[in-house]
Amino acid sequence: MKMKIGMLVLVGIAICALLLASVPSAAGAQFFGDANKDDAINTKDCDRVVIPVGSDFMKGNILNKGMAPTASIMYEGLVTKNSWEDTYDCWLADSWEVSEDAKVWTFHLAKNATWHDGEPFTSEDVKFTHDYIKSKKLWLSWVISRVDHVECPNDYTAIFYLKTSYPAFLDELSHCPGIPIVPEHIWQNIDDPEHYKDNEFIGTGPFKFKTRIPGQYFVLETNENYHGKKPYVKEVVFKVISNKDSQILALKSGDVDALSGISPAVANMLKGRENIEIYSAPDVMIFNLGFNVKSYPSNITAFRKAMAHAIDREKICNTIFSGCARPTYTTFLMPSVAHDFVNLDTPKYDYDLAETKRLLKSAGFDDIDGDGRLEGPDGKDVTITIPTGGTAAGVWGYKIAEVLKNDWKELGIEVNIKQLEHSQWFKEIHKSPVWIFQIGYLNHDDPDDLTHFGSEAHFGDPNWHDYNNPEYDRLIEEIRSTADREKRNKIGYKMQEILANDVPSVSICSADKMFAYRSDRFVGWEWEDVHPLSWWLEDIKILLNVKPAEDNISEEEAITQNESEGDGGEQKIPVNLCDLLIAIIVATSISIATRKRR
Amino acid sequence: MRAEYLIKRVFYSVLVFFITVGITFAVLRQIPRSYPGLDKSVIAQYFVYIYNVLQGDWGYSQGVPVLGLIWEKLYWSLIILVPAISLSLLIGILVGAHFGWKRGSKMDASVLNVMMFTRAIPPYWWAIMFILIFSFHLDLFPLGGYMSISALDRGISYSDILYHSALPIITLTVYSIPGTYYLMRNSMLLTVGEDYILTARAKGLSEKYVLFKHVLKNAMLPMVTMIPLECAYLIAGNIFIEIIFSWPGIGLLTFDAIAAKDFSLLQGIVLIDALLIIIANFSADLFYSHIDPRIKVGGGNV
Repeated sequence: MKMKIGMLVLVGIAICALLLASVPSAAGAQFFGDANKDDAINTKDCDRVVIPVGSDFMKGNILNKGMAPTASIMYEGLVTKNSWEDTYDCWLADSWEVSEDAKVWTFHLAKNATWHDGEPFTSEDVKFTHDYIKSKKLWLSWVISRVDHVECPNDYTAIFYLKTSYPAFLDELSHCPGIPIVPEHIWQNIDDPEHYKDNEFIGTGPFKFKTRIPGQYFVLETNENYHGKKPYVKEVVFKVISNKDSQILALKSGDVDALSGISPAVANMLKGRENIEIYSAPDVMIFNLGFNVKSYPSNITAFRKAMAHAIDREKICNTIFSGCARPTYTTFLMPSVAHDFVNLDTPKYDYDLAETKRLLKSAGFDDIDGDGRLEGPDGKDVTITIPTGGTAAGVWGYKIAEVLKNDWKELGIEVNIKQLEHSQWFKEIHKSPVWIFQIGYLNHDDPDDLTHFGSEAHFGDPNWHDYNNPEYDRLIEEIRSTADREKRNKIGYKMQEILANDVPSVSICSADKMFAYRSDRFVGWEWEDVHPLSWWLEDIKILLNVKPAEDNISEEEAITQNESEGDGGEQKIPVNLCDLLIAIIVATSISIATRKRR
Repeated sequence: MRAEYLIKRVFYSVLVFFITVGITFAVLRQIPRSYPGLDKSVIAQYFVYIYNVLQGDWGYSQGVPVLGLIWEKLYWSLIILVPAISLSLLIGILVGAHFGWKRGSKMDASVLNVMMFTRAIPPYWWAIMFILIFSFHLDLFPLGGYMSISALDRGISYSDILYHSALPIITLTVYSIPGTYYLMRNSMLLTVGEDYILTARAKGLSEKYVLFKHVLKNAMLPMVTMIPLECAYLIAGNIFIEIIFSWPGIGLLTFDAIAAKDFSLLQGIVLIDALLIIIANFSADLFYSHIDPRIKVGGGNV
């Protein structure tokens, strides 16, 4: 009996030893080859920014990942949006011009741009990207659906011919998600982009892929041949830390250099700690209340107007966002980014329960049987189910829905909150009278974003609200084909007036996104002089601006000097010790087991 | 006789596997989304699915074959699971046997309470506490992950991985010791009360002889059936441990799959978990029949 236990232990230990011994094969052979290169050994800590990510970065390839080039740092698009100033910055295009009718867009491309593998970048790559996305019917093809064809008169000029005139074409090209330009010499050999796993990520961006350790690190290094302004840091490392609390600990202990999307409570906790700075990106998360204009009871306009008056925005901002949010009253477009495109004269739906009650009564909602609950025009109690999605925005949405639930109960309306996974949420909003949604601030900055309410706005399908107004659709066509800014502004005002009267959605608030970073390691994270495309740390414009902190450099050099004295021996001994230890354990177990057998 | 028993066991294991496949298939079909071959009948879809599973085609997750992905992650899970299972069995059996023998002592009562306390607290709390105490404040272990950043310059070393795996292993072990301990202690108590122990003592055998030759030997038997249960239990607990330690195993993959609503991946994970437990059960059965001569074909004719 005892012998058998001994055997069991032995087998267990042997399996452990075997598992450990075969580590390199599983961790990815490609890494092993790269990491042992001599040039890698000299990377100093002060040149390497470490940013935590929740899960493995870039698992497939750039074209099936989606949010590129918005969230990409290895690839570039033609232009990038300067979000605070309503202009565009150069990216792969040095300059561009557009015809009077906004139908022909000519891009003059950067002449010194090269792909990360050294091949020159030419206009053929731009044409190829367009043709490839369309021929493979990738989901990105809806972005360029208005493009008829692309012509390349020479190596550095690409001309996009559009089917209809479209003044906001650069918006489509640059973000949410935008179109990344991919190299023809790599992608022409890829037949199945949906299932293609990229191991090289050849782009033109300021950072190029260096190496990855699956599930742990994704390493980018500066592209020394970059055609634009080169980054200050030599390397960017994305470190997988799945748990949010662990990310905060990692920031505190200095394992990572910055952290995004922290809650106000965490920000307060980190505030005042040595070497940690907090900053917030103002008004980047915009929350709206959506109505479905076909489901009962939100198909009644007076009901929608009444409920628009029943949102206690102050309470939401103060309790849910701890004051790091501000109530918004404008119609879809946000003054912080859309500036004078916002029509401030539209009816304002402020918090006014008396008005809500009056409107509800006029629309036939009344407590007939005196049970404290409202009966609708159909004579039944009014019950509303608010679906909330499973994303980060969905979590905020859930909290907002809870506030509404309490407030609306006093009006006599029963609210149920239904938590769903994202794709199901997306289906459910077509059946639900009320729901909460968040769209990034870049979708609230131009009258073109008002096309969200077009009858075929969701990639050719009905919009989220099932809102269908022929007059509005006509204005959409008009604004799309109008190039003159003043005229667009006027049409946009008209559209906002219609929306304010039909109320397919009401804005709730705009919330800040908070960040924390180690000031002893890197500076330049703040957004004052940067115009980031997105609200992530993995943003090209932020990473281009990040530089090592001054006092960090001298300190780090001293440390590296100390380290270099004992270099080599330090990391080799533990390996041998460990192998030795395993060998001893295995040997002892074998000897014990065999002795028992005799 | 043995061959017949073996065939029977294999048959039941395969049956259980197909039932699991059927259940995952049925449950995941309840979630509205598009599937390949929706135009066919449900039965036809099921057989296509089974055919694909047997062919090794478990579908794709973000362009990566599911089976390959799971295979890679399974390996990392085993690195912490195998030592944790062995350690918890070893410690649990030793402690359980000791206090089962010395039952009723003050020490026995306090250990029992400590074990109850340990078990009552969910594994993620232990994980967070251990990280906070041992990694953050005492700086003895890394905060998580499986490789320190210096590996980018110096290459992967076993010691680095061992160092990173230490705290997850300790947490998992602490979390699963009480289970083994309970069973071993109870089994000891039951065995000590058996008539043949009384007989052995009446024969005038020394206490030591009775303990090692009679009590332990018989009390150990239920432990063998414990192993597959322990595996199932640990696979579940492992999800939290891996999330908190950012350990790139099946648990973290499960979490990511749920977060990303990646159902083909989730389906694959459920299958592989079932397969692991079935294999553990099967080997336990074999092992049990091997060490306990009373267990022969279908019992009955002992």
